[in-house]
Amino acid sequence: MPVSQAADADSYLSTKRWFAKYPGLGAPGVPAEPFISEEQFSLERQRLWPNVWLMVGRTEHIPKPGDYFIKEIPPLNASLIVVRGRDRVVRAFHNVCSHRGSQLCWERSGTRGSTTSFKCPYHGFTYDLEGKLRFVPDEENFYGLEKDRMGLAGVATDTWEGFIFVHLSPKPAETLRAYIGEIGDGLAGYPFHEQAYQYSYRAVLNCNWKLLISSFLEGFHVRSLHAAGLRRFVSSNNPYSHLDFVKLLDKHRLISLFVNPTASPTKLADIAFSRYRKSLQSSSNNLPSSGADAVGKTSKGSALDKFLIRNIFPNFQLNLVMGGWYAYQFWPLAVDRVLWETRMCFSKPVNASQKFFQYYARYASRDNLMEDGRVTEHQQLAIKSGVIKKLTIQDEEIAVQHFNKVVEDYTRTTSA
Amino acid sequence: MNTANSDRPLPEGFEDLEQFVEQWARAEEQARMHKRWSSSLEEIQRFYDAMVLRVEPALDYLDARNIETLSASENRLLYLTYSLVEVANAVEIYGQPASPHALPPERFVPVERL
Repeated sequence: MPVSQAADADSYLSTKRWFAKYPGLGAPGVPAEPFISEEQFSLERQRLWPNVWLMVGRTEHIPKPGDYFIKEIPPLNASLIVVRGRDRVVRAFHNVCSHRGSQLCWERSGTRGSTTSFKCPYHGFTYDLEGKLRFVPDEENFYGLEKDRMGLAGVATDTWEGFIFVHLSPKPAETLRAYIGEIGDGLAGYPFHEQAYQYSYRAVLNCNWKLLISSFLEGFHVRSLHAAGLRRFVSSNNPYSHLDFVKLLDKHRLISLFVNPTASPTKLADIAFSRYRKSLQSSSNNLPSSGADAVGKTSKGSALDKFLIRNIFPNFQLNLVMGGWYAYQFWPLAVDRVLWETRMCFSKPVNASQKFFQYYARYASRDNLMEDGRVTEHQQLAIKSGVIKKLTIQDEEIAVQHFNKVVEDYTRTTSA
Repeated sequence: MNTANSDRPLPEGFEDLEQFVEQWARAEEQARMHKRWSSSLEEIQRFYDAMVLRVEPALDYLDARNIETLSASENRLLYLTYSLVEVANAVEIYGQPASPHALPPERFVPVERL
């Protein structure tokens, strides 16, 4: 649609649009202190992390009763066992024996397994898949042991579109459904589970978690930081990657970036995409039609002209991409250290061409993610110097301001 | 599995690529990343130039086989196509093994599980 694209180009370049639309954010600018303040980090641990729903994994990772995985929640010093019970319900428990407090499972976060019970290695207290204490060695030597009340400490658990979420407050203020709200629009029934072939990356960066998340909330840096890798996707009529739209919700935010669909592909991109299209024609391994609207304007095997970033508060970013979906998560380890987990998920490849394309797709993203990760470390170093008190924000960076303001609202007004 | 093929470095018809097997046929993504980052652009370019001409025949060959039961030599051919992907940006975009603004490969780590 060349005509409407030209009209769009005029409107999105002519005026500053976003701060006028969201006056509640105040004047553009983000305080620097919260990225380096130990006190702020402590407030986040007390007031933010116990009061939000946190994505910890996928239901298809634990398909059968007894299947479980371990997940650490670093800002709360918590280790969880997420397990499917005999009744097929997915539950999460603190990985803490109620006897003298050892961890039951010692595997590293992310490890999956299958079991019929959880036995503490220390003295052998044994719990069933629903968290009930089933066996106490030398039971008669304890004093008034109330076995019924010594089950594993449960954690509120719910699922949304196959994503398992936990909430670590004893009584969550809102249901997961209410918490997700509008950010889930367009994703009902999206076949994430059909694209469950997962490639994962882990990085620990020396920066504040909010800085790293902020680097994914605008397209302004693409032209400079990703000058080599992504600039060909920036079209000449939108040289600074002004957004298609930004939608700021109560806690979450959605931004849509234009991608120049006529960008001349590199030689290898051309080979990878043509092999992908060819492999789609010869197999049923296809982009599900029900997801096409959610991905953006797309058609079978063609390049996208929009790129939607769903930033689900506080630390879960969900991107739908051609043939799959990416999930980034950001777990603070300290005020200036963050664990960054990246999942890139596709349909199970049925032949070499699909494996080749999937490697190309994730690698094309990966090289740029490695730049996003590096720059935020240098940003942290700069902010730590105390030279700037405020991050200057332009209109197109409004989602950065919104995200940081929501964090501030939690730490200022939410009482633990 | 084609046992006749598994003794060769690569399947029949891809002898011209055998010179790259030792350095570039690496099963793990992190090993491919490490190879890319630790190679000179000249070495990368030599591999890229040879491989980019042969990747489509290689994928045609591999597509005709069951991806779950590739022989050792067929897997090596697949890994060579992966290494082509791994080095493509070096040649086509950065003009050096990797972006000077990127994290080093040992800090962005492919893992089995999250």
